[in-house]
Amino acid sequence: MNLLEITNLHAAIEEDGTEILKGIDLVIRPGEVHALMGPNGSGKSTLAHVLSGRPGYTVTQGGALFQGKDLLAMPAEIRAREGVFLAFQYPVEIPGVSNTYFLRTAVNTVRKHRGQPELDAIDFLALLDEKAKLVEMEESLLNRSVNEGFSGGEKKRNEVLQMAILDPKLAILDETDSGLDIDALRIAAAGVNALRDGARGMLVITHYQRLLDYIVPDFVHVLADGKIVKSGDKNLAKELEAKGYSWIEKEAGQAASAAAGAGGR
Amino acid sequence: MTRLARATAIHEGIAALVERATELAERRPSPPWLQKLRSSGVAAFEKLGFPSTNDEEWRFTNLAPLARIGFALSPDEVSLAERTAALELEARLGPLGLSSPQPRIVFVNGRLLRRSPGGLTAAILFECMKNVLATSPERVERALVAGAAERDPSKQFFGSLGDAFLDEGVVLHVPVGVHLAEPLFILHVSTSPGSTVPPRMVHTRNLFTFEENSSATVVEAYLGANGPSFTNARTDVTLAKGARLHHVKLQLEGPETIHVGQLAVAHAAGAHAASHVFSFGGRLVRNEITMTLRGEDAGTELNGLFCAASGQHVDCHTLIDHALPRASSVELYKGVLDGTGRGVFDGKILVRAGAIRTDARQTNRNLVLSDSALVDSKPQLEIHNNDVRCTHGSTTGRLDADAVFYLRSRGLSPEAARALLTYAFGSELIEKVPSADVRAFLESHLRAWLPANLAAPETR
Repeated sequence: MNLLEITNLHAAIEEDGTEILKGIDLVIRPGEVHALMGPNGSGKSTLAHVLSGRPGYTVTQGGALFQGKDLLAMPAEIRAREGVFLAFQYPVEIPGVSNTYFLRTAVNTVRKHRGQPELDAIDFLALLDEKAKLVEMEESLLNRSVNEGFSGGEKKRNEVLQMAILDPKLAILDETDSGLDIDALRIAAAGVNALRDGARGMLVITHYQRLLDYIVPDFVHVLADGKIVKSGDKNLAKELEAKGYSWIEKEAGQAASAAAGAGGR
Repeated sequence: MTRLARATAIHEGIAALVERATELAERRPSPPWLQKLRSSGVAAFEKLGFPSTNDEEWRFTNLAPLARIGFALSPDEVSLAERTAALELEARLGPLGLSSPQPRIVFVNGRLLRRSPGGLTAAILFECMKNVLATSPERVERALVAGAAERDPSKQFFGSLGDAFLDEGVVLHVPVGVHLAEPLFILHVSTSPGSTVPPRMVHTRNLFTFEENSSATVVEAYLGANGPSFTNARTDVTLAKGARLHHVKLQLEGPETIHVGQLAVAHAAGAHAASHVFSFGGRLVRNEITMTLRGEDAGTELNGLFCAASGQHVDCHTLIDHALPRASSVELYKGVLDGTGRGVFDGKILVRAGAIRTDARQTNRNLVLSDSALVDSKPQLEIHNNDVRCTHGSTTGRLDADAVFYLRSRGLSPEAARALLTYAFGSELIEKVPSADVRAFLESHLRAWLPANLAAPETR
């Protein structure tokens, strides 16, 4: 069964009705890593938000199935418990909630939903210790409030740590590389790569090819103006890096007008 | 109720209080100075009358319920029913409950129930006011008389009422250089006498004096049953040079309680007081704190968490009076308002002309959990010299939607996410409390207070 199957997905900003996604089609099978690239404003983050259930968007057409179930009908927390994980581009600071407490609450909520026994303090700390090593997370950060006062790199590593602990079936990484220096990027990417296990699917959203040197995708898609305009393998990312996005947008524009012309004939 | 009927009720309320105070004075043979203190108190509150909302200090808090309900003093003897009810309520304090080994004085409806000195040595006076007034009134005469004289009579309805009913409370005296490691507990339990008897009122007066370089933590807890009750509690503290006090007030009475509390601390040079107030609501709760920095390099810290659910009103008034150079004050008050709950924060920082190099920081943050909850925030700075650093800030808002979504995206239900965030908002103040037992109690109490629709998180 497909892990994720997005069909003709249209979505608009709830507040003003502006359509951002204009017909996305995408299939991710278990174990596959897909990169989604595209210029600013093409709708990359909107897709991540819509798939994770962030309030503020209206789906106007089409849909998405997660393991055959209607993903978009589920509240955000049910999507998370079913195994969809979003690594935030801008992780939220939560003063007063310790990282460890938060992670334990989250993992036990998810485990309960999946019919697994909840972890007691000792088992949880063992798991946390193991996964924290994966992203080179210092112990002091685990005892601090969630993301409070974390550097950009620490926040992104914390996202990867949460992903490792929650063990999702599908991980959506929203510009995990933004704001990271090369060392932080390397550590975050190593964490993600360790979670590639042949079963977990990933959707890696990025503006730059740089991240894909570290997380090598099976497929690359280019999003422009709310649609996937080109798909290929990892070499497509390299081509984009060399030539920029404009040629793709141009090509897409020509294709669109040709299609319009054909339709008119 | 018509205006005339209201005025009549208020007038009758005052007349009833005068009668009760006069009865009490007749029951207590006292030295002349004490008789005079009580009778001056009666004369003052009778003349002042209940403060009305036309009074700027009482703009947001209406005392009509207090005027209307005919509260009575309890008889001198503690009944078996009161004893039983008090034990049950005390047991709810968990880590601060009956088995707690610390020095503790327990009152029920204003009368002494139990006094356990813990490990206190004889040099430390930790005694109930009634015993001190009966056996060695000269120990408290000067402080009580001076306290009444210094009071601004135009503002002090409740202070005068307290003088008029002066009878019970706690006298604490810590000698030079003594550091008390374990907190001292003062517990006030209000029980509901049942529908056949008028609801109870309690007027309590605590007097703490700290000699040079002494230090202690004092916890005052107010517990109550569900029926109406009125507590008028005043604590006066004098800190000599270099003395340090942590004062924790836990206001945990029932939803129908009327509670007016006053804490006044006079700081000498280098003295430091930290006040921690946790107020969990009532029909009408008012906490007034006055910190007077009368010495150079003195410091004070005011921390407060006030929570009000539907039908409840919690009013926090603080005044920090910087009188001499280089004193510092840090204030953080947070309100959590749910349902139709109403909160007030009125915080004034007064920096007098001589108080150069004053460092004062005040913050008020309020979290509103419903559309009909309301909070009035009134920070005030009054500065009379230029060589100071004073900051203040006040914000009122709802839970951060991004934070709620972040938690939901990790599997937490919206209710669990909101409960966790609300708890976290309040817990910042719990962390500042110096006693681990008090913190543990407050953590579980705050969780239990969280509105049911937020579904309290279970573990920490």
